[in-house]
Amino acid sequence: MRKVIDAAGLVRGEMEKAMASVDWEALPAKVTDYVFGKTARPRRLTIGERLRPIRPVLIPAYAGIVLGIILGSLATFLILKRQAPSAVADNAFFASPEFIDRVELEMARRQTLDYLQKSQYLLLDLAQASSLDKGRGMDELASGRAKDLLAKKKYLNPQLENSRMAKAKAICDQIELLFLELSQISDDLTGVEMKRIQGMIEDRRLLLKISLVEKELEESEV
Amino acid sequence: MRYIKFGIGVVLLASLCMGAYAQIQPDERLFEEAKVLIFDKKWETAQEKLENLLDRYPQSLMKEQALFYRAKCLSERTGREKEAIEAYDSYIREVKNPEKNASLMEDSEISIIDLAYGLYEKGEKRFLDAIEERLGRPNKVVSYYAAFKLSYIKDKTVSNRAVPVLRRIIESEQDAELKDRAKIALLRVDPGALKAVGDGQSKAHARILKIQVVEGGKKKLDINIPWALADLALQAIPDEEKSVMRKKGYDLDKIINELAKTKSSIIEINENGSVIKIWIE
Repeated sequence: MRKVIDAAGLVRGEMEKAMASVDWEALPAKVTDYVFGKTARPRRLTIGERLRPIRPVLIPAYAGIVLGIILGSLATFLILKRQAPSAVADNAFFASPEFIDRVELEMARRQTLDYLQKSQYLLLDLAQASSLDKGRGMDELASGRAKDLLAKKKYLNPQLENSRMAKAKAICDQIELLFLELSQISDDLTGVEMKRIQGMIEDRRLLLKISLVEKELEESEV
Repeated sequence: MRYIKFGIGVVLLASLCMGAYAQIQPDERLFEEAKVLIFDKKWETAQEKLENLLDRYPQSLMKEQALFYRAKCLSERTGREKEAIEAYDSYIREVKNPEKNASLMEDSEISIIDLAYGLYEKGEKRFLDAIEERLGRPNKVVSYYAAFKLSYIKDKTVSNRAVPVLRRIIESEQDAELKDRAKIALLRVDPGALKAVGDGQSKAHARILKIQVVEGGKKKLDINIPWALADLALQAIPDEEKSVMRKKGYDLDKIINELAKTKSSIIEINENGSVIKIWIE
């Protein structure tokens, strides 16, 4: 206890010395000067410094603006990008490949029917033609019609490969061979050649086969 | 009596001459036999007959046609496609009067395109050139056919090469059937290009037919197709939906008539949770 009292006595002496060294009357003025002195009189900027576009103090503000522009642009781009396809899709043509195949098959069915009907008329004319018709330009007419039908058949070929058109393909191919023949020999279609073509039409029952396939195609919509 | 004998002599001589004239030449006979075999799709035997003709009668008047039909026989035989292309090429080179043989020449070009396409699809990419070079042919049938065939190639960078010819068909061809084919081909290759093409038809034809089938809240079918193809597209609607439409009293003609009546017509058919909507814009 005595030791503590002795130590406190030592501190007390030092405190008295420190208190005596302070100028208590001037102290408030010194504190006021120290705290407010710097802010009350800020350093004046020169004209050059004022005109400088990027001042160190404003860098955070500029960074914020730039970041805002980037984020805003990105958001606008993303929103417009999402809207654009739907706007295009509303007015653009589109269909799945499967649907396009069905459309093409339906087209082939109709055009094959048309081809068979036109071929039937031509083959009927040929089957019933006599030697007298030659003088009336029968072979020339037949040749022209055969050439038209040959061109038509070429565009049908890709769809005729479809298994649903197999029967039609078989008869269309046979007719095509006859028309190729006709297109070659019609310049001077002799009685013998005419008889041979008529024989082919009759022996293979081409007209009957055409009628049967036509009926099937009429009934089998895609 | 002397005159009668003389008359009989003249008639006999004339009939002998006529008979000799009418007698068919051996090369002709071979050719006719081959053509009958081709007609009956007996390709191998027909090819043998034609090769026999070409070997034995190299100066025959039938030579050009025999070359053509030999190529045809090869093209119909599996695994002989490359030989067939060569055979068609050799026929085209051999033809002395292209005008007289226009049909066979055209057929040869088309067959080459078909054969080259088949080989390309099997992985023989070099045969693509045979199709592409025919896009620029002055013969419209050949050029159009090459474009249609290219449009089936799945690789869009390749099929896109057909677009200029397809556009030309739509813009300048008079044949409605060919135009429709070109529209379908463009729809397959590049629908955007189809939208940009003007086919010289009225504004009514420029309209879009829209078909939507929604089942259980999900789109089962969603199509935007040119109005000009409306009847084909409606006919191509899947059977299930077609039977629903029929049940509700709608057939192809009725739908087309109703849609064509006013611009804003919309046909909506509801059946067992599925909705079919058809309208034009």
